[in-house]
Amino acid sequence: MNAKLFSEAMSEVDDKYYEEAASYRYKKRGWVKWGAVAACLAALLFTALSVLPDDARPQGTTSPDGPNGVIVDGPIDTDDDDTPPATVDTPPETPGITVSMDNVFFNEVGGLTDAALWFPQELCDEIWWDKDAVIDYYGKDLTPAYVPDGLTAADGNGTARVIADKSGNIVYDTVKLGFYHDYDENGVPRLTERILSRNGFLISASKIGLMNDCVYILPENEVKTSDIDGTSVTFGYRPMPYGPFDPDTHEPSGYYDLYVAQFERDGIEYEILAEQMEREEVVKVAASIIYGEEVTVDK
Amino acid sequence: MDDEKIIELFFERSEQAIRELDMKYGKICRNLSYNIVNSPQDAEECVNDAYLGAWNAIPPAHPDPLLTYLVKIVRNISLKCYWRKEAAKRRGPYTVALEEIEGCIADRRTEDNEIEARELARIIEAFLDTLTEKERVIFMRRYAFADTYADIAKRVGISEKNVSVRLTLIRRKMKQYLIEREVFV
Repeated sequence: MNAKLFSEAMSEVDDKYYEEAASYRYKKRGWVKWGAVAACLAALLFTALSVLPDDARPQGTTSPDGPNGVIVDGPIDTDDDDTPPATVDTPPETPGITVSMDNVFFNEVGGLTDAALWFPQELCDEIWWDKDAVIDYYGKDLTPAYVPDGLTAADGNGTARVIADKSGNIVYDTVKLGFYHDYDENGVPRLTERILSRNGFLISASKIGLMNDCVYILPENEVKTSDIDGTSVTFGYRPMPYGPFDPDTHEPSGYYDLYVAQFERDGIEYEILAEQMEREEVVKVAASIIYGEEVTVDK
Repeated sequence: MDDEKIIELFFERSEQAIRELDMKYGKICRNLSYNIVNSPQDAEECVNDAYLGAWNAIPPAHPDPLLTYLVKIVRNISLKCYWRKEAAKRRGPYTVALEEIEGCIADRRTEDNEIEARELARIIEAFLDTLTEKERVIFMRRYAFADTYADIAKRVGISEKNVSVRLTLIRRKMKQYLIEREVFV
């Protein structure tokens, strides 16, 4: 049998199979099932993203050789003579918490990895956790204190499908929360019109350990972290190409910003994957998780 | 506009039928055709030919559902274009899909037991009945609709890698199925 015969045969296949495939849309209570579905995969996934970020992109907010970032509680840092007085933007009567972008490092991201495990049904069970069960397990509501304007929580945020062994021990506990600008009828984030990408962010959290990771261009021991309230945060950045791609040169239509923030706080591992967001907003979201309240970012 | 109203326009021989058809299903048809012929111009031509085909066939045909009917016309016309123009050389999604099939079920039949496409279609249908709904959809989207992994992933709500793994398993299963039925000797 050759490909042409197979192709012809596929044309002869009954309409009902075409109809089924044409009308099929996956049915989910919430798109956050993605994470749980990944638990049933058998492979280690690696997305090789070969193009390095454009060095010409503004890196001014990254300290070139200074120590790890410093977070300033209260009014804006006045140790730096070049910093405008706090009174310019921050009313003295509402000091709050301020994060200085000058001390936040962004590492160039070379690729994203996603590992997933196969949990045999004879050894493991899937369990649906509602919001109360998730809060009970993590000891807190994982929703960040700050969500940028225009982004809304996905249906099913705060619920999760986890895996337990036959003794009831949780062996996969990743919870995902999405905040995007729009969703389709199935709850899947819509792509933006001009740029074929989502606009918003996804938080993954796990006490056992996240299965996905981020590969940085720099060697592991040279990746810089930023200190936010004693929590070491690794921020990453990559310009992501988007289509349509030129059929001849394969050049993308352009690039959009992808940011990653990884940290551990109170025994919970977090990863934030943000698309088409300002870097200050990404820092604000991460800091709001760490502090448990909304913070101000000093650009 | 619902399908029945579009069909009514066809029966009235109103050219508005084509406009409505294009508004409702044009994007699906162009995507399908483009995935096969891998050329926007050829895809546009194929879709227009498919509309003409539908215009000539309805009436007397009264397709239900209309989309499936249209998809099959677009697919057949696009495949003719694909083989005629050797669009395979352009390395589009359909070429890649066919290579997957070739890699899995190479031609080992002899001339005296050549199988007909129609006969093979019945066997493929029987094989499809052994799959789960989601597996069937993944298979059909890949090899009938020529969807990319990314398109399938979005449709069925799994990752692209998962689509790839599932397709590999389905092809392996199909190969075994064909061997057992002596299609693949």
